[in-house]
Amino acid sequence: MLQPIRSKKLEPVSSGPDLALMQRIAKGDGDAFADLVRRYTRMLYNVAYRYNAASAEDLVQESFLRAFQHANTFSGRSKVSSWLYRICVNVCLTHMGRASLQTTDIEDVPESELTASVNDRPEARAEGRETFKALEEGLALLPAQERMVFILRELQGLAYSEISDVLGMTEQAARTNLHRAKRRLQSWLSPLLTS
Amino acid sequence: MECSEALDFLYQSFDAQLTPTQQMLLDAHRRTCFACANTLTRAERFQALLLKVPQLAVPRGLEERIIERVFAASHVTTKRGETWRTFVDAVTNWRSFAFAAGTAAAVLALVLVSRNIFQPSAMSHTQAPPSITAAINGSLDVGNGNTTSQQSGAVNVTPGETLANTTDQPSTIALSQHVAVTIAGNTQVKIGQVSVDPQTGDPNIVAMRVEHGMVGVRESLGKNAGAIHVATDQATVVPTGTIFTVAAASGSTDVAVGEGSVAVFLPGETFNVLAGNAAHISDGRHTVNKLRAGTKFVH
Ligand SMILES: [Zn+2]
Repeated sequence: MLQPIRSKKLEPVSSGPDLALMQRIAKGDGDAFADLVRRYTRMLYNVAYRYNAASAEDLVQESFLRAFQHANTFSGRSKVSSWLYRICVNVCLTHMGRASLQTTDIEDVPESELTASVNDRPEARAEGRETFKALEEGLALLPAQERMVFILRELQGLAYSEISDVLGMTEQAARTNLHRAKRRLQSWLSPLLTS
Repeated sequence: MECSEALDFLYQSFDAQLTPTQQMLLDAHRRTCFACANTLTRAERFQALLLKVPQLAVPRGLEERIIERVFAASHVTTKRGETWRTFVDAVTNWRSFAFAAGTAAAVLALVLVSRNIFQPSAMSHTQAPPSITAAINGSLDVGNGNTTSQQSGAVNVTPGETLANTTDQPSTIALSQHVAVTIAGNTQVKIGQVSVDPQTGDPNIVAMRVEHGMVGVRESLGKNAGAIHVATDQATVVPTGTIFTVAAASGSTDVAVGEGSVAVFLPGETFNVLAGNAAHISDGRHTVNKLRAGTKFVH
């Protein structure tokens, strides 16, 4: 089986051209904004989808709207990708705030139920699409902050320093959140990881 | 090593964060603790699985939808006319625009000018004239003095160009999110001053001279709404969140207002016409009457 090659850094390397792009956007240049959208939609869509698949498009659209409206606040001190991640994370966490009443926290689900729900499906043992689906389901049950750290670190490949910057937490807090998320997900996926 | 520490040590090893001593402690615990050995194996499988999680492709059309939504919310136009579909939506919503009954027969010159009412110099430019991206629902002959071509859909509007409707059916041109002008059949207008907000790209002022025929204007108020000013040789009409028509005949002008109100500037006098009223202006004097019952601006 071919191992998919996954770039840990999906976003293009940011530097001078990105800063110039942001300056054009701040002046209301629609073409520059369209360029930004083409460069970074996939990056933000991946974050938003893993965070909340059902609302992913809305979250990405809202993120770009805020990016456009606040383009003049981009200072160039961080990468454009970090700046966009920060916006997207805020949009996602705010969205979660509104929707959190309807979601079940994985902490409230008994361990037996966690394992049973994956194990009940016979096809679940086949690694591949079904495993990824189970991972998505488990992700959706994580507390918002743990979920976001996990996405940024394990699925987007950000350094802890960047996660710390994007989420406004210490690197140690990011690690702690990541380890908690992994423990929970590992428990959720346990039937697929044994054997 | 405590069992509770083993997994965190393993996680740290994935980040190459373990000292050689810590690594030795972890390996030793793993060899002697059956429970942890299983957990750590699952953790390694989980980590291997994560490396295979594919990056998702962007859903078809998402980038375009983002651009459209943001531009619609921010009133941006681009050189490439990417607001086109947004404009189409605006025009589609407004396509049932109809002219005020009673003024439809009027044919003559309308003049749209900028705030410098009746000053032709307002139309002159020292800089390269800006153009805006507009959208035509129907079709119009667009000419620049040298060439004329039939256009529909997205079109750049540049000062000095003429827009002619040589059919019997009205066509509508959306000049921004806030201003749509319906150009009656057998009408020709000439684009005058176009002023564009450098921040948003949204037109501040669009002026056009109607060389013959009649136009109807639907203008909605918005924070960034661009102004459109309509003048004839008799009067200049400045709308505020309005649906109105202006028609000029030889020596007279008729203004009918469907929604909102318009300010009408005559030399030395200004008055307002509110929705449901029509003004008749002739030789510098005016009368305002209720619109005839059944007059329709929008079906
Ligand atoms: Zn142990």
